[in-house]
Amino acid sequence: MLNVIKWRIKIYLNNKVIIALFLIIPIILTLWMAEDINKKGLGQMIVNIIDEDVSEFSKDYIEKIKRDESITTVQIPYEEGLQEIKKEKISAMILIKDGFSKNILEGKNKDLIELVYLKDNYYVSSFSDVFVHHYFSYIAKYRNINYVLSNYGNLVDEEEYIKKYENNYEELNNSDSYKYEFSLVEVDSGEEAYQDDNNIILYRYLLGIIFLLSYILILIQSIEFQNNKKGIVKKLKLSGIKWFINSTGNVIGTVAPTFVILSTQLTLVNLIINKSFSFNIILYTLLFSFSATLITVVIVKIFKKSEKLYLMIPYYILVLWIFGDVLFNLEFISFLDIERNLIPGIGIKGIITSFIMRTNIDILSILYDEIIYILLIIIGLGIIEYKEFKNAAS
Amino acid sequence: MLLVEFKNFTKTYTKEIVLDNISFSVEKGKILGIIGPNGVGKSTTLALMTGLTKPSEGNIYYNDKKSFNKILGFVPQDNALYESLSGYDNLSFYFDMLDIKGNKKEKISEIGEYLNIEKDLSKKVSQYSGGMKRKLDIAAALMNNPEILIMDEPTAGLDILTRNSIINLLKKINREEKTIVFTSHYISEMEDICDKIIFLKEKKIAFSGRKEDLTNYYKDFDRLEDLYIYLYNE
Repeated sequence: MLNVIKWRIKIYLNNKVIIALFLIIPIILTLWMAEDINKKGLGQMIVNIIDEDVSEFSKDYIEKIKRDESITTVQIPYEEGLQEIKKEKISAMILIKDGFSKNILEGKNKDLIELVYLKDNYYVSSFSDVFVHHYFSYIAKYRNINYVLSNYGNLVDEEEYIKKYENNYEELNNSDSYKYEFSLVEVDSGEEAYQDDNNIILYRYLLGIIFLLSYILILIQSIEFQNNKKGIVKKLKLSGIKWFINSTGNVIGTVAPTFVILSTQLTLVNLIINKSFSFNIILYTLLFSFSATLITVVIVKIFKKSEKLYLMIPYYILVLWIFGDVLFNLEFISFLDIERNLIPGIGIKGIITSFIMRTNIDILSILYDEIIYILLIIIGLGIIEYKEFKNAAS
Repeated sequence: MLLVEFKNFTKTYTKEIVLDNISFSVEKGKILGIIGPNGVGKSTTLALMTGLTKPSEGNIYYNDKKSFNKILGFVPQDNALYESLSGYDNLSFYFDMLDIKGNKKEKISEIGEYLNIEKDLSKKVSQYSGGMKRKLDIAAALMNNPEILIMDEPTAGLDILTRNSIINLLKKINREEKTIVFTSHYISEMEDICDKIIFLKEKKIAFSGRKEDLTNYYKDFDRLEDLYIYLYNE
């Protein structure tokens, strides 16, 4: 098997153009982005905070917001804040409503806060939304809910309340939780998107491109994996090599360089932008690379090979479609209620977001889903490989 | 001496008969040619011979079945090379995969020299001509020093000069006492080098024998090409 792995990696690394295109360029892009981010600051938001509740809870909440390095807070009246948002002088306005603390203690979690922001700011309802999620929805989901619920849990001693809190927390994490917490007010400036001077969209889009390139890289590997394979498989079969050894060696040899590339990109992004290192992220990257490669090999095997890159465009779209979770943005299939985390590689966007947003993600749950998917794909790939090997002569 | 003998074998794929009740044998040190138009079952015959697929009916008798794969060199119809690798790396790949013993460099150099492709081995296969790729395929098949070389249409798609060069190469290999079995569309090649020719027609053997037997049997035809046209134009 070692020979199979060795040759698979050698075939992969032999293609210098691909290495240049899909490893060096993304790294250059990352470095360029990092320099730009360092100059302008990443997603530095000016947020106007209005505290109607004026309680210990609301003060604590404001303190937590202020601790976020990416947020600069101001305190101006509501109407003035609206005008500033329209002029894009400030990014958003957080209105802590009267009764905030009372509602928390009563276990209520709706309409505690009003979030006002420019409709087009940080939000693109176009192709790039494949990579870009709504900025404020993430704030809501990962920061404020945690805050509200954790306070609730800490202040209520009764066991049944704590249990209720845990249930609520779970439920909220599995849904569009920001709807429960915020009343969202979108302000329309009357101008088109991309007008804001904040580059978050661009950065996320570029990060998306890095991963898009990675996907294409995986596809090209798969093409190479398929290239002239029938003749080679025939000869290998005659040599007495077992299909299991050949298939496993090929898959490992394909996954290994992909993992190196993806983890290099991710680690670089993490180090450059976040200046921190996370073992969990690396572990997830390994699994993501593995599952992404496996699923791509399966796709190419099912749809057959093509040596011409332009003929592979439908596959790019297909892979993007799957990995980009566009599928789940289509309302007409929303009735299926598919668990989005079950799609391999889907969690990578959560990781990108966490890099930029500095939010916490439930990496263990993503890993768990990913492992299940990897096992399923391995079984599917094994069946395909077995049939291919067995029917090499037909 | 018989290396392999087929007796009354039939091959079906999903109920469709691909080869129907065929019998023939391969003798050591001889060149056997299998000819016929596309879809007549030439590749299937070779697949059965190599053991890549099993017959639905009938028997195959190997002189020594256990070691048949070890004495076999196979050149498939579809190019079995990695285009992004050099000729040398492709041979090196098969050296490793076939678990060949000995010095790799020397072996590759020896085969390269033998087939007169040594100077091109450092180039990438994607830069090779069709004829060069075929030669490299043959070189890969010779890596384990086989006694029998089985080739599926080694001259398909090549120009006449390159075809001629491949045929000369086969003659050279045969002079080393190696048995050769190959399929082709070109009767002139068969006429030139084969000790025995099998005409496959409608999934059966239309004729099997030496070239002389063939011309004796079909006396009206001066040239085998005319006979080919006669047989397959009916």
